[in-house]
Amino acid sequence: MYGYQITQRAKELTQGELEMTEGALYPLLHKLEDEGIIKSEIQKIKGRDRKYYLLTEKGLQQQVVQETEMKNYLLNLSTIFNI
Amino acid sequence: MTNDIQEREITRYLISKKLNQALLSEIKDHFILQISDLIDADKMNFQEAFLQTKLNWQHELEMVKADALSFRRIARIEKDVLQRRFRNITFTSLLSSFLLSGLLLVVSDLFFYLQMLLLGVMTCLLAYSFIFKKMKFRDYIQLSFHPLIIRNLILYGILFSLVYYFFNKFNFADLLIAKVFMIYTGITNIQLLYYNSRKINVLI
Repeated sequence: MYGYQITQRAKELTQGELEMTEGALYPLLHKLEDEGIIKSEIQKIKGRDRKYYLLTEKGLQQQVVQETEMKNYLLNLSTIFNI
Repeated sequence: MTNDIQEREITRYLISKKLNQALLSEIKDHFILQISDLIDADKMNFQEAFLQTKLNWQHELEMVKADALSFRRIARIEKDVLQRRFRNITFTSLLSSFLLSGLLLVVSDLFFYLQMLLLGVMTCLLAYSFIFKKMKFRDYIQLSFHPLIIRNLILYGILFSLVYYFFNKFNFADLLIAKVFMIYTGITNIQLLYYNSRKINVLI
């Protein structure tokens, strides 16, 4: 996915609830790239460069861990509030 | 959709923000897509969509001081990336100089060879940068006033004053802490030259 696509996808998935600040996205993407969690490749689209970001092996592992943590957190919250 | 003239206007605007090449092409693509979407979905004309996009990016593209010890002004988005790079450079220099200081305690002659090695690497990087036109003479002069170098000089001054105050010792260069500091400065310079030779913005 490329930068603009990520902002649009986040908006679409959350039905407009999560509106990412465009400018805040790029420093974050570059940080993740430096940490080896994502990698990028540049493709020429309509005569201009477009930078695509992809998860690395390390990033995929991190995703599984983060997802589990988030699910547990949400489960705990729901347990607390259901009581 | 945007045409060539409109894309040139976007490029001119982003160039005025002094972004590095990689960030410029990435943000330009984002601008074009965002403007195209506003034109198609919200039925705006180009100028309205461009203005709206500029407003959305106002905070990130605002020109700010690159560093507390620099007079250069860069876009905030560039500053965030740059400051993180500076922190990485400082961390690497600190870690390597402390590891090498352990070796200096064991092998006393090592400092001379280390100095020669650091000087050699710096000379090679400088020669490479000049031969392959990665650096101009003006950039080399600018390197002397680099915020990280100035910070190191200030630190050196503080260390010297502290040593003189507490130990009343003028021969600061003989102390281990001075040697470690010199290694630290050398590694910082090498990293700055290395990043610059790879065309990664480190404010040179």
